[in-house]
Amino acid sequence: MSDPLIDKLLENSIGWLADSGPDEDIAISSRIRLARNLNGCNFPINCDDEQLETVETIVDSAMRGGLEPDWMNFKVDRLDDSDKMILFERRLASKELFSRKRGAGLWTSPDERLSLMVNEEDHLRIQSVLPGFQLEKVYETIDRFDDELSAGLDYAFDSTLGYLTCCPSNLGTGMRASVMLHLPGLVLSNQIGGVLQGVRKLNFAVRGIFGEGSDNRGNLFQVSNQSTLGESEPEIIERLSNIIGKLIDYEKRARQRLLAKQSQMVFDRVGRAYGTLRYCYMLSSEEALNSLSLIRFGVDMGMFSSMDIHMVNELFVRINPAHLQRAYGAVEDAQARDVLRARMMRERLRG
Amino acid sequence: MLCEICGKNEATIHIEEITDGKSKTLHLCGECMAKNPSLGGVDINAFNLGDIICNWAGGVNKKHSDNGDNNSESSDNKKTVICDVCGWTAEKLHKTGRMGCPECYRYFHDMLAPALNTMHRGITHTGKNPAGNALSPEREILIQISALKNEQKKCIAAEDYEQAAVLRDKISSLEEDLKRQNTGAENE
Repeated sequence: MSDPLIDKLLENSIGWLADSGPDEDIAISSRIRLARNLNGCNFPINCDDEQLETVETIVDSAMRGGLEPDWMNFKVDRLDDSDKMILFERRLASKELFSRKRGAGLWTSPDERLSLMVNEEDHLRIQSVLPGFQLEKVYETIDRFDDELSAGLDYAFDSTLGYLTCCPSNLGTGMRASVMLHLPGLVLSNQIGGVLQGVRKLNFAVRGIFGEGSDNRGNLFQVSNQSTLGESEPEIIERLSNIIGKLIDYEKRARQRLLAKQSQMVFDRVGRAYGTLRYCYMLSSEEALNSLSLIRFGVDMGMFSSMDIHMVNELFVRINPAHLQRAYGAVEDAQARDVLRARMMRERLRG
Repeated sequence: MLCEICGKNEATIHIEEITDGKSKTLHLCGECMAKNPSLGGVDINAFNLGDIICNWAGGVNKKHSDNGDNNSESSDNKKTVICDVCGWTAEKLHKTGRMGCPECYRYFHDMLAPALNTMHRGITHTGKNPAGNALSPEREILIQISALKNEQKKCIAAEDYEQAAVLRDKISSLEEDLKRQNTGAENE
């Protein structure tokens, strides 16, 4: 049985993809998550079902205390597989959360800008996402929410080690800040490898959003901090923001160079991508992601006056299997899904 | 050293696996590591972390055993560390790279400290406190020391040794303050 709240969620647009933000031609979204745990409770990895449920009860009652009434609450054991995939594809929940049989849940604001996983790797994983490149603003939002929550919860905290987390790699601030970047210019001009290597040398983590390693699809990359201890939250954000600022700069220059020197190649690639999406009858996820990336690049260059960048952003989520099946009904295999994906694209691009 | 998989990039990740007393080492670059998330079917994040922690602990056990104890004995020593609060063991820590409860940090502290230094940019939390949790005087000093140490690193990198020496003196005077604070607290 599907949770009816999922349908409510699907009616809303995804705030961090559909709205405008600074530098949104290159930075799609800024995200911060905080790991928090309760004093006197074992970490979920070392909990039985009953202990997990105790933690859930404590966190839920703190959440109900000071919330806007329109927040949604999902219980993992009441979701079916398709519900879980929807939450996963919207980047609200992780597979680790779904691995728990009892006591795991998710809270989210209706615009999905602020959310909380209960009993993932840590008791609480608070997440805030805003469109574009604005990590300071995201931190303001999540910091305030964290303060409100901690008024009603006894967080595990040590004066030297900071917030105590299940994995020592999150110790201290418990904060992972990241920005999702769209870098077609650096990819098309073959500079991406060197640039990403430079970022890794500075001890930031980079990963493709879709696919792993060099098998990147959609030219989407997430850059985040690795160290969480020894610097304050604003210091981590400043260091990360500096490197993101540079990456945005590199990408801008790569795009300008491409347009100055190889404009016909760029127009050809973008035009072909448009043709594919507008007239295809079967569309794999890989082809969809790569074509959408080129369309997004084309929109930034002003090639498609009628198309909105936020619609393209949302399509990156809506072409995923669970979202497709919700929109068009369940299908039995990947091939049938490719047909649905093509149909959705044609409909969307027809405008 | 070059990555053993692509042979092009500098190897930055070194994995040591010990099977039947024989050690096998693999040197990788970040890119190849990302391409092979499940090297040998092991969760690399957990493996890596557990490894960092236990390599170090093994080294210490060796140092402490003056009469030349062999490896199997030192791994026995590792297994005896246990968290009295939640029952988590050093072995589970090695296997998962995770702690069992907040109190584990007290019991596994010595095993963990050097790994933290590798993983993070410092070993002292200088960020926010849970709301309503006032800064203790001790923590204020710790934060000051940490900030000065960062400053000192910058000076050394810029070869401003004069300023670095001034900072060093400030740090040691703060460390003295901290000691006094601590002994004061114990006497109370």
